[in-house]
Amino acid sequence: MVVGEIVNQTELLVIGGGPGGYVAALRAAQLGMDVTLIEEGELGGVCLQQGCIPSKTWIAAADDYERAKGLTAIGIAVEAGRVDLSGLRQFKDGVVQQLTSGVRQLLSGRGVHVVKGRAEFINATTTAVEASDGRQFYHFAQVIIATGSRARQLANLPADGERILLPKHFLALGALPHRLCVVGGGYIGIELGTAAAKLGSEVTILEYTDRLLPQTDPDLVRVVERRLRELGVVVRKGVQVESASVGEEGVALQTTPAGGGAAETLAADRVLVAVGRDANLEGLGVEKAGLAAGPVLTVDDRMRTAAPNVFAVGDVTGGPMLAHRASHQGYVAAEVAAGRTAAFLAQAIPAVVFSDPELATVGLSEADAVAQGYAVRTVQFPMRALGRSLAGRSASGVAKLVADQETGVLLGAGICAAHASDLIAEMTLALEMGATLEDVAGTIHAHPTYSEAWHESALLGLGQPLHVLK
Amino acid sequence: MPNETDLLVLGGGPGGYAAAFAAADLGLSVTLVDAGENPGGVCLYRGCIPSKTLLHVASVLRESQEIASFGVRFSAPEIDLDALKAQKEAVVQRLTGGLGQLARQRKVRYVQGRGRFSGRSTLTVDLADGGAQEIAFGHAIIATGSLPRTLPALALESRRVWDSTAALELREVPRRLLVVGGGYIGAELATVYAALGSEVTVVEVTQGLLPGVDEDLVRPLAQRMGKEMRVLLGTRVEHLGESASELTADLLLQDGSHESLMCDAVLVSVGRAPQTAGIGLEVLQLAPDAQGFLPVDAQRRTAAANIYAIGDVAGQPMLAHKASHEGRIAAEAIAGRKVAYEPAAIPAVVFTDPEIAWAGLTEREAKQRATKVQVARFPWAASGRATTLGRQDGLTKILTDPDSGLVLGVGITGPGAGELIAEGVLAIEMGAVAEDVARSIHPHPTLSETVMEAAEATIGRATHFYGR
Repeated sequence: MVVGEIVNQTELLVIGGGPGGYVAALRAAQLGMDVTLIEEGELGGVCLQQGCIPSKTWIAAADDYERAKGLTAIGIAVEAGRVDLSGLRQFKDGVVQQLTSGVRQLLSGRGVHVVKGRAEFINATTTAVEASDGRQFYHFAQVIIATGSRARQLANLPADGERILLPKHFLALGALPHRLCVVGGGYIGIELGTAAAKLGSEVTILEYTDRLLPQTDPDLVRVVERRLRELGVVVRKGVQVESASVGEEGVALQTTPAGGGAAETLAADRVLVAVGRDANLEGLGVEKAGLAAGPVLTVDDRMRTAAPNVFAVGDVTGGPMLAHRASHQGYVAAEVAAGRTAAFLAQAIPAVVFSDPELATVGLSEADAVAQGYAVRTVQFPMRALGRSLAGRSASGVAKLVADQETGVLLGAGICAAHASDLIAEMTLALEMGATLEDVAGTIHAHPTYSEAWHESALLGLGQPLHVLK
Repeated sequence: MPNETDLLVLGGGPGGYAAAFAAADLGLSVTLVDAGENPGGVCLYRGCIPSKTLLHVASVLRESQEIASFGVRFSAPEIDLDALKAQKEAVVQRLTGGLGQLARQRKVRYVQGRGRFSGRSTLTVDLADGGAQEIAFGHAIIATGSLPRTLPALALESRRVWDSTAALELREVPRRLLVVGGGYIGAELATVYAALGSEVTVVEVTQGLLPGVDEDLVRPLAQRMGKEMRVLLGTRVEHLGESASELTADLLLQDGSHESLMCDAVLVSVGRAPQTAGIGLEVLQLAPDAQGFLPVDAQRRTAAANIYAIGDVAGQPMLAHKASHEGRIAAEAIAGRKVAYEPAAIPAVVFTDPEIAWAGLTEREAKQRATKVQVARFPWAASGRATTLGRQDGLTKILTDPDSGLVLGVGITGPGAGELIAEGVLAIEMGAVAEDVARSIHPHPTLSETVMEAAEATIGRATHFYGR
């Protein structure tokens, strides 16, 4: 800052326009604060531009395609059309544009000042913003850092956007790769690998550990793995990618077994690298705001960092790196910044994998609960025992409930089934409300629906099962 | 004596078998009597399950055409009716067979035949494979369900005049189908046959489809149905005639004019009536009320101390899950447990496209009872997930008590509404306030966020919806 430069004043500065940042900005504005939001790219952040939303258009299209092909098995002959990826891309771009402009309208409707540019701290109350029309300074009383995360790169597999892709490159493809190799068997790799396989790619998933979705209950993951095999996806676990050579014809990956052994070569047209995410702190200069540089920012339950006027929300604060966690944190940060009493004390943060079938969990897994010293009662209910599953031709899957042995209070839930992404909401509310097995069992669930799985599981937990035996 | 049982359950539908299984698990000896080969009743053999199997096919058929907007084109489908029928039968067989097996494993004695009370504690069964059998019981549960209703103007003996049972048999796909009655059964089956290729006309005597359901929830369905079929509201069928080649329905239209409508089949879906005829109620000195239901108390006990009634014979709403719930209550009461039937909310789902689901108080009821409510709506046009699905025509609304914030009712229209309503029911049962729902983290991007957003709107802080 030099004498004579114009400094913009704002009560609250929000850095980052993703689901953490824009929700914080909207809530703060709603509470009467003067808010400026800085976003380097497009509003909506990774979630809306490169992540949750665009991937769901692919997955929705792939699901419809797969189901429609399946009509033949039940007496309805349809000739599968060609998959025209440019059509899908157009649809996806339309969805992203529509939602982005929705976020823009919401922000302007609430009087949030949106600035496009890259922010860097000068000190604990000032940032410089590099914009296309030059450098501007913003002086603020409080700031919320919501800069999110980016796809992790592997040193031996540098993404070129052509042959070696990050998820954002993959979702912008104009043609389906004939042979796709996915490096990483986490949720992104499984979601995009499944969609590509359904649309016609030959897909191989390579996972370094000995499990897909290593953090998730194996009883649930098993269902996804079985389905991946049915879809012709080759899943190889315990595989380390050593190097890649990119040629005219495609990519040759050199792999070795993670436990050691002979090297192998795997040929693919394109490689998708989906091995996790890293917080975006580079170039932000948080140390100038008085914060320690680290891989993530540490916050308390008010979302405050070590500097009293600096808040941080979302992926930049570490995991679980989920949009809905970021939004709730953003909400809390805005409330606290506005002088209200609020805290991020979520009993339960649901996590969803848009695999086939969908997989969703909330609260403690059986293993976590035991590790925390609970005596637990765990029940598993097979989805095939439900009429809805058979009528909907999606009979595979399982629901699980974990409850405290003595009180019956629910501790966690997991489900791998059609509609799991929506079904988990009921169990999240149950955990937040301190519900017991009896509460869920005593609640009438509509027939015939997949949600009956919770009811049946709760009955099973009480020793009164209906459509299965004790 | 072999024909003595602690509990006799008459009727093997979702009320009856739930009661039988629960009672057996509680240690009672149980005999279940039903005319079907296996337990299942209307729901599994002639209702919920076959209809959902066909509705699933209808929805995939539609998807296969709508997927064009995703850049994938499918040819027009060719339907092999026999194969489709076989598929539907296979689902029914597997589920009912499974129930038969569960009954055996629980040592529930299943007697196939038609039962009639012959005394205060005896039932005579006309066995399906001939002969009769008398069963002596301690307690009995009447779970005989309901039958499709018809109208005098439609009383025509013809293979072309269907009730819901006939429609689900999938005898043919008529070129022109007239559906009389735009309630949930009419709307669901009209959707099925329209998807299979029939030209469908739906005639509804009231001013809207799904009478009784809040209009804002029905609107997106009415719009979609309006594109795929002809919907005539405020219209009455005055007479139905048949020639060698077709049926003719004389319609009295809303504006007072008349129309003769030619069709190849008529589906009569004007409601269901409780089924209590021919089961010997008079022997028990029991009589149905004016609506045909058997009066029961909170334990589902009738005026006869050892006789209980559950499900469609025991009052509205006539829904399978209400019957199952009552079944468990009655079984537990008979086993000596302290229980009562007092649900705070019973969900209802219409499996059309979009699905419609609601639970607890509706706006219509609030108005009728002059109950003060706050209503918050979240249009799915503002939902990211709905946008990725290409389905922005949905709506989620929450009714709360304006003073306490207690959630009183939830209504949802859109794909998956039938699953989403479960959270609403739990919220009502748990005595949640809008803030409880708003502060529960809902995963992104899912349709369940619409429930959260509606709750947020209730407390004046909707994130993705600006304005009132």
